[in-house]
Amino acid sequence: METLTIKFIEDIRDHEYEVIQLHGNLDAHTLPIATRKMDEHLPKTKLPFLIFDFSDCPFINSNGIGFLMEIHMKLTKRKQQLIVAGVQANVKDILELVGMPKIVPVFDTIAQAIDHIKKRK
Amino acid sequence: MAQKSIFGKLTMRLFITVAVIGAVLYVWLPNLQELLLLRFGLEDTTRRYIIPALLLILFLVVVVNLFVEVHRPLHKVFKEMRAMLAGRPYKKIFTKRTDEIGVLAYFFNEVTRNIEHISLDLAEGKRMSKELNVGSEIQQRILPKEIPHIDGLDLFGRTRPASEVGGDSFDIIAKGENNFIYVGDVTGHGVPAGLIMVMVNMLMRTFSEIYQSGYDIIVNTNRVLKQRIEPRRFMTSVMLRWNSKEKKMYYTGAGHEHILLYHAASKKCEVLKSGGIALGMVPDVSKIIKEQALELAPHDMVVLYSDGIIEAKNMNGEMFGLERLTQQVEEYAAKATPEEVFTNISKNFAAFVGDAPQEDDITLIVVQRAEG
Repeated sequence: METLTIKFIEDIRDHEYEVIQLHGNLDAHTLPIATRKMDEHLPKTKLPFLIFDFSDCPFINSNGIGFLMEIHMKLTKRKQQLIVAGVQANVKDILELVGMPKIVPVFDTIAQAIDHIKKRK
Repeated sequence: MAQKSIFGKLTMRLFITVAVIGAVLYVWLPNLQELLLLRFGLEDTTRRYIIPALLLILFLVVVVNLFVEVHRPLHKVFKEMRAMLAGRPYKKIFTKRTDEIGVLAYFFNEVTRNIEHISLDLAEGKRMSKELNVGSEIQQRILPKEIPHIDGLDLFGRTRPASEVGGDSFDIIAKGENNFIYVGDVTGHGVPAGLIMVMVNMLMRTFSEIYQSGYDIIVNTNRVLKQRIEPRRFMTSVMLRWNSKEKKMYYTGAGHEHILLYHAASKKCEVLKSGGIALGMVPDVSKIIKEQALELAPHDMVVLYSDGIIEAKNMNGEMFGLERLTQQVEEYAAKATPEEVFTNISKNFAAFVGDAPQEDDITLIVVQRAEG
């Protein structure tokens, strides 16, 4: 049975960002898990940047992209920003195909994402 | 504690009856015999009167118990069963018994309850199926049944939803000078995707009456669509514009799959990114998408498709894939019409997926520039 676990790691030094690690695929089967976790977590987080870490997420389909777009909209309303990082090659291809990097920053590594956040200060 | 078996209950009662009668006789038999002899002059009363009387009492006890404990409750249960089987109104059987009759009554109640649920589900299922068929008919009406004539082009295309109502669409809008061909794919499939597909079809058609470029049609379709769909939904699309006067082809990408451009001269397929961003993701795509020229020489072909084709899997879990589709276009496109290319790819696709169920909508369009 496909599953997805999500871990939340806060930047305890500068309190600027939180890393949300996805472990598993993000598709129609695991979407209810992702939705429930984020519905519980989002109201509690006030940090300006949320970095979705895709290092351990080998697959995403249109359902997963729709989920990310919903998160992006909710964060934008609260003046927070979604960043996607650690994407594997096939995930990156899918995100680029639908045009998501044009509105949500997408980086190959977490370090690049953090660097991007620091440079915005 | 309630008896769990009628047989046990009746046996116990018979035993008690025999025991009571036996005890009474044991104590009172000599007195009874004396009384019958002195009062009525009856001799040999045990054999001639007492035993038959006892047997009669026992018989009555058995009969009454059978009537009360077995016949009457069974009659009630069978009455409701006969009513149910004959299609007449029936009632639930209320009982606190836990013996065989109780089990029978409980079984009847459970069976009838399940039958009622199934009937409701079947009725609801029939209603939903009817509505899905209506939805499917509406979609079929708006999809092109015949390929319209466009000066300078030959084309063929079809779409097949995964369920009664799908999220894939294509349209061919022949307007004389500027002609539009697009393919679209809504997130997911089924009724919600189908409704968005119909909405986009209407918007694209309407805006093609007002605007002369794929860019303007896509930007305005997106603007109206974004206001009306939930955040998780979006539609990828790519629109071709053929100017029959200039004999030039353009394309506007909205986050869709790659475009395959077959060059007749080299017999090779070029794989182009369609670019842009999917419809419904952001309110304003005017700075993100653009209409670009496509170098299309006579006999060259453009192939548009939805991801349902390249992501289709066979029984071994192997994906059809973009590479396989590209190879097949190169194999079949030389000296073939768009319909022939479509048919050959379709046959190969069907052979590849075999008996694997169709999990997503599939669309394939082949467009060729004619001679001249």
